[in-house]
Amino acid sequence: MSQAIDPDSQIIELLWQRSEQGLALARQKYGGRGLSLACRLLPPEDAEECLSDSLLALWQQIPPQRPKALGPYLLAIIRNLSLKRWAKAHAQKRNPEVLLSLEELAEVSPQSASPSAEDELLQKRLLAAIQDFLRQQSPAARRLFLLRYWFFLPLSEIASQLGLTPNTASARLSRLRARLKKHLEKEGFNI
Amino acid sequence: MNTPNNKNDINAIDNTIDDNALNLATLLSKLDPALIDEALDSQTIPSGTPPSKHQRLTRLLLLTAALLLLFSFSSMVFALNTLQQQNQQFYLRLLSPQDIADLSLESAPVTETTPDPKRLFAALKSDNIYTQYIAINRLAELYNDPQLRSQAIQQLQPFLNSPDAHDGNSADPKLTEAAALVNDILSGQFKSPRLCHMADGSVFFTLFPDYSDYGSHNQLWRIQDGQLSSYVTFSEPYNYITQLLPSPDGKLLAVGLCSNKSSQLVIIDAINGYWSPELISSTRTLWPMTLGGDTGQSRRADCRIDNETYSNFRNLQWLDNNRLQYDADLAYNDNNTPDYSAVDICDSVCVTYDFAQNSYTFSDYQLNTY
Repeated sequence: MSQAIDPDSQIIELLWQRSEQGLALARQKYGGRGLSLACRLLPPEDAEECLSDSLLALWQQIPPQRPKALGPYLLAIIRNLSLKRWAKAHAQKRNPEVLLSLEELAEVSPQSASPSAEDELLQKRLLAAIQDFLRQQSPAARRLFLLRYWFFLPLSEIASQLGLTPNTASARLSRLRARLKKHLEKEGFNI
Repeated sequence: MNTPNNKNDINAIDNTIDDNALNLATLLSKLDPALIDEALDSQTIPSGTPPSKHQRLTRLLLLTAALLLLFSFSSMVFALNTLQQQNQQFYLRLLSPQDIADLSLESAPVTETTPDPKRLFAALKSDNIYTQYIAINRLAELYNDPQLRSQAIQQLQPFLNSPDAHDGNSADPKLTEAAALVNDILSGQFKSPRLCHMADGSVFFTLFPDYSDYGSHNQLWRIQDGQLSSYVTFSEPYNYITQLLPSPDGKLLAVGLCSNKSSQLVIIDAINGYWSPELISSTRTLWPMTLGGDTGQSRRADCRIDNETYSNFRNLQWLDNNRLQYDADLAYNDNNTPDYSAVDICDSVCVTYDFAQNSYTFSDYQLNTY
């Protein structure tokens, strides 16, 4: 019985073989979503550049990395680079939606999220606590959280995707943040 | 901290944004890819650059253009359907002698003026409704040959039994109407109200009855002593015969005709073969003289190059065996008006024409200046 081959595995294999075709396929499959994500944080021309930088980073990281899921891996690179650029351009070009997302996220930001926190272990604990929290939530709630704070989608778009009104989506996010705050405080983080 | 509700709050947030929030957002990038994968599975996360204002405007314009195209296309389809329906329905504006000789409205050369019976019978089976129509009417011309007449009557039957024609389709009412008239003539019944029975036993009629909105074919046929003959074929502008009205004693026949913009009237002495002048043109000329004075002189009965007088008659009736009465609408140019227009004056007048005296009497008139 033949086993279906995951296209992402093929792309990763191509990247491991240092084939530029792998990079082209990665761009073809995830470039649109990556660009969309970057555009939430950056102006379009910067987003394009960020996408190219992210693909270069992917090229540099694989090998030696062999991610299990290529999509989230590449999107995480794009998101990181976009956030860095966004932070740089923070004073000039700003996307209100990202500001609003971050403002909401500030409600649940413990001191340990700061780069000044030298304890890397503490950051890993924080990430683990957030992941645990998310896993305890319903798939719909998880998705709501990630669409807002990972993909930086505006409330109107999230509401449209989830079949909610923007007010309902906003209220659910508010309750989700309150639960996350309680969860992190319970885990010993000072918010 | 409360979430701001409008963009005015953005600057305030911007200044107070917690670096921790940004760092937390960055930290979230390291979330388990499986969680991100789950969110990606929805397949609804938008791809590509969000549309700019210009792009949105372009899309709106494209959508509008598409809707306009759709509307135009729908209108075109509707128009085509309407045209198709019109084409399926009988419509003839003007039959020319060539059309009739050709047995169809196709541009075949004129080869004969006397119908070939085989050709007529074959034309009845044509797919072209106009060819059929011409053939049906021309079957009447076989009247003088008893054998052909009998065959023609047989051939006409499918068109009489509407709604089923010979090909199984419904016969057009015009075909049925023409077939009924021709059948009435060929069978010698002569019961059709379209036939004018004269005092000498002859019968006058037109074929192609009311084929257009204007009237019937402008050829007058006569059956006298059992023989059919073409009595007269009018020429332009007498394009259509609109009315045949015998006098009470059946000796005179008033023939109403028309062109596209005017109507004409003549009286035929069917017994002796005399004709009256064309009455409407004569009336139009005589009426200003009857009025006299400045009023009469102001009426200029111009003769147009297309012979249209823009004058018409209504309410045709015989007062007795000699006098024909009609209401005439007579159009003139006004001599007092320097600028030319098609019609300046249109008088309505009741006219009585005495055939024996060739005289006109005017009454009950109304003068109208435009």
